Amino acid sequence: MLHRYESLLLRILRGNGGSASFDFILEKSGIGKDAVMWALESLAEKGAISMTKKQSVDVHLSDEAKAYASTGLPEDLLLEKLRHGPIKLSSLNSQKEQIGIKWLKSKGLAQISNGMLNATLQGMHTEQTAADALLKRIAKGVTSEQLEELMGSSDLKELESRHLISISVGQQVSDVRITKKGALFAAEESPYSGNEINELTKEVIESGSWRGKQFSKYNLNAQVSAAVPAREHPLRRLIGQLKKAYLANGFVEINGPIVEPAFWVFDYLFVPQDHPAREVQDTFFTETPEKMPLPESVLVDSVKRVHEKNWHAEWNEHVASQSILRPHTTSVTGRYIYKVVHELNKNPNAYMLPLKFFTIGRAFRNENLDYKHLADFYQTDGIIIGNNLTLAELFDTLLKIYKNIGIEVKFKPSYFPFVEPGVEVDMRFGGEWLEMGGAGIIRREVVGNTKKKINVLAWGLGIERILLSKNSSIKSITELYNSSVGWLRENSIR
Amino acid sequence: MPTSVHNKNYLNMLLGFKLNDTELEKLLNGLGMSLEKNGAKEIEVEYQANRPDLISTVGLARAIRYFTGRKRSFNYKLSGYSGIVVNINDNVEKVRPYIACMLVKNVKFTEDSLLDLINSIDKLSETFGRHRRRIAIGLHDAKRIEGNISYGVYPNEQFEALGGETEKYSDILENTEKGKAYAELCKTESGYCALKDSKGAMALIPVINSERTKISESTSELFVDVTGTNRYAVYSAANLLATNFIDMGFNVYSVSIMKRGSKTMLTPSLARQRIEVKLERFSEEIGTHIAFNSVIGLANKMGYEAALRYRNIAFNVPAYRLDIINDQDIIEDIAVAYGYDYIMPLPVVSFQQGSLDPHEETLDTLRSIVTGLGFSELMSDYMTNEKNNFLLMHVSSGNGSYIKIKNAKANTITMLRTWLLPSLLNSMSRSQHDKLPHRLFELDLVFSLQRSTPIEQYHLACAISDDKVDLNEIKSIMYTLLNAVSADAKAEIRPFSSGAFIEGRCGELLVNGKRFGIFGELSPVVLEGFGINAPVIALEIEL
Repeated sequence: MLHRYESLLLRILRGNGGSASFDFILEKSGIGKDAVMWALESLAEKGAISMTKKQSVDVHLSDEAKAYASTGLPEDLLLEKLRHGPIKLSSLNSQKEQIGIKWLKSKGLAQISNGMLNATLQGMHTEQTAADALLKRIAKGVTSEQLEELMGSSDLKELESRHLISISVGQQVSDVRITKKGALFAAEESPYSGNEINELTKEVIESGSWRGKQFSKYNLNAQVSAAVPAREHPLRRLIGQLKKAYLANGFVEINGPIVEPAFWVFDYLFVPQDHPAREVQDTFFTETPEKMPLPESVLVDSVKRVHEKNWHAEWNEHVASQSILRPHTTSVTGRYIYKVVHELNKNPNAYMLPLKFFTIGRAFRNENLDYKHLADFYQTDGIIIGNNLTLAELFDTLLKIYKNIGIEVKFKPSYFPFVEPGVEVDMRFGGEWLEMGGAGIIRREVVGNTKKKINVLAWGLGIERILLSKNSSIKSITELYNSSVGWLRENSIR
Repeated sequence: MPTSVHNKNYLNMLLGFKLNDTELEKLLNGLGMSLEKNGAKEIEVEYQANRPDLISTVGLARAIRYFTGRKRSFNYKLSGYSGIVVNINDNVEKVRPYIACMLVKNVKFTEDSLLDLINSIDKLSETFGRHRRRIAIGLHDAKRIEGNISYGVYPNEQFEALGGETEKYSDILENTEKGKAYAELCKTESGYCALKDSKGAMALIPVINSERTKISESTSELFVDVTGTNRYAVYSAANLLATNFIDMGFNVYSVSIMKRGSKTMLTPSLARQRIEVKLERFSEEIGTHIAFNSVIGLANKMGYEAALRYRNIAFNVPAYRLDIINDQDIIEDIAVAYGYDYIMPLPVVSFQQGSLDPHEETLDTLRSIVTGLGFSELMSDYMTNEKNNFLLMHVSSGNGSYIKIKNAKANTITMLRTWLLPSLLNSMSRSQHDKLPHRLFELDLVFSLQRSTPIEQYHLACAISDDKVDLNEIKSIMYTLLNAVSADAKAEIRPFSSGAFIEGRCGELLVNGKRFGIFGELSPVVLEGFGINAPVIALEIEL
């Protein structure tokens, strides 16, 4: 009538002279904490053991909190400065200062007027915020009893809501002893006794010995810890959804290189060689390799001609062969435009138009990194190659693809050197519209002179922001990359 | 997109009518611009980078007046020839060969109009002018100019710069902020780029003007120079400026530019390009039928004079439109004037079946297998640095055959990663407060160089960190993955030596003699370096 674990614990207790600490039992048993807890509670219910149970409260500080515990909370640091006089808002740019402003305002310790941050009267008289004092106290170490007293206090709740601390309440068991009744139980070693089965084993099923017997009832309220899931990355899942949306609209997936000569990224796409996007402030150039080979000279010569004619400046092969990390995935679709149009010019029946292609991949921009800006990010590019394709068809395609993943988009005029007309694509984000990227009809200067009025619809759009609009628990796109194990566990469930 | 700031009073004065905020925003959106900030006295407007004519308030007002049908004259005319000749010296040929000039009479500035002019030419020289290299603009009081004007490269001389002391050209380039910023464009081996009259330098080009010819609110005649390295950009910027002066109510007179061995040029020309577009092209590109008289009406809204000519519409492109290359640009303008919101979406007729890249599909299958083995997927940066990729892993950078990045703003970015394990360890080091076990994987690209050709290859790495780890677990996962990739491959394990792993606890799995991957228990030296306080077993395979 005892479960295997129950028998095990009784043996351990008996072996230790009838009593033991929880930790001792846990170590000796070699089974998990949840299992030990369950078995102890079950034994106690049967009157086989006695034990002292009490609630234990545990606090865990985040890395951010540990840093604040030594330096002070951002609002305290800022308030200290404000006591010497108001500060221009425009000079408070760091993430930490932004946090400080937010909390000073919500605590009524500072206010904003005329672009300046001023301490309020209350702020001038506040030496230290209660939250800061509490954080420092907790960081020094608090007992479970002290924490229990603090539970429910607004300062503790504030620290919790700011994800600076996390509090876990559990059961603490001590002083476990075998009772007289238990001493009798301990003698029984059988997995089942009489008519009651404890553990249904393979052996029990195969022998059929369970027939006509009762099953002992388990304590269903025993505490267990949450299982840890392993699931797809939220960004990977979004990429999968987007791929399905493209598939549903008849698109074929293509891919291409990350490291490219500037030729495929800029020159082929009619971006003039002195365009600001090609400056070192915006694009990553590589040192090894420094240069990459250009494609066949027929193409290079025609690109040179088109640039020199229309941009009225010399076109330089050296600039086009610089090796760079692609700043957009349009280089992938661009290579296909060239390939398809080139083949169609040789053989008009090479393909049945329209052709639809898409790609999803990383792109890189030389940003000053902060919590809002990534240097590595995902982009998707799509093209439709056909005869006489129109803006109306471009709009329809994008509306459908994004509707498929639950995103509303709208269009407005914009400028990119390789499309004309140019379109900015915006997505609805709550009550606002956010820019996702650009689209348009690829210029003749890129596609070249073709038969049968072949033209190309194209777009290049960001991806990360979609995730922010779909998943409110993700606060910033930078969270998506290089995440901690805890973040991946939490955010992959939703 | 770039933005420019406009004074509301001045804008309303130029418009000749008052716009409320809602109307203004609607108009701007209709023109492809947007209202970024709306203050009590000023607005900030985002304009498209290819439209430098919208930088100045004068240009913005012109666009709005056309768009609202208040302006219907399309022909900008010069008032005549000024009689002024500017001589170009041969020695500028290799430095800054082009110059265009004009004389502006009947000038009456207000505080607002002078400020708009100065701000807009500064911005024009920075953006369209590519930080004054392609073009730069100078404004002078024409009444202070004496004798003949010449443009060339001259030896180091004394010069009284605007708001400065009299000093040598070289001192200005070395000691002043503007001098330092543009010195490279001005200084040559044989001297300094300058514009001169009979009394000396009028400007050190493209750095600073002289105090002698400086302009003020009371200036009544302007001499304007546009210099640069691109002929087309210099002449078209001069046309843009001349149009603005005419819209300000001033009279513009041309200046003759003489160069030995070349034809004498009169600048500005204000010549309009004529482009003819087949009528059906509008419907063909926009996807909505637009009648010819509507096209002409829309063209007028965008500032073009247009007329039907046989089956074509002929457009006269104003000289201030520096962005118009050919018919495609005009069609866009007609689409903008028509309004993107009014274009009815039309489905693309296509019978193409969608399909995924088969290689990508395989990778996704592998990802789901690894997830099924209890690993969470990590996505991390492709860009990293030598410290993370090599040093902390206690492996050598080999013969340096990896992709180095030249110019990152962030000093943590110097190269593309050559393997994935460092990314996993990095994440684990940031997860020291998350409950064990940690089971992470990443399946993505890594990069290397082979005879200076970039190689982009997919890797898969898995790592487990727990109180206790068992090397056999990672080894068995390795076999599972091998099975998933190629079911009947012959595999063999050989001991492998790497600074990242404990000696004797690292193996290399070979398939048909070729390396499939490595696995092992991470060395505590490495763990310490990453700040990880539990043992880690890991594998990395090449796909």
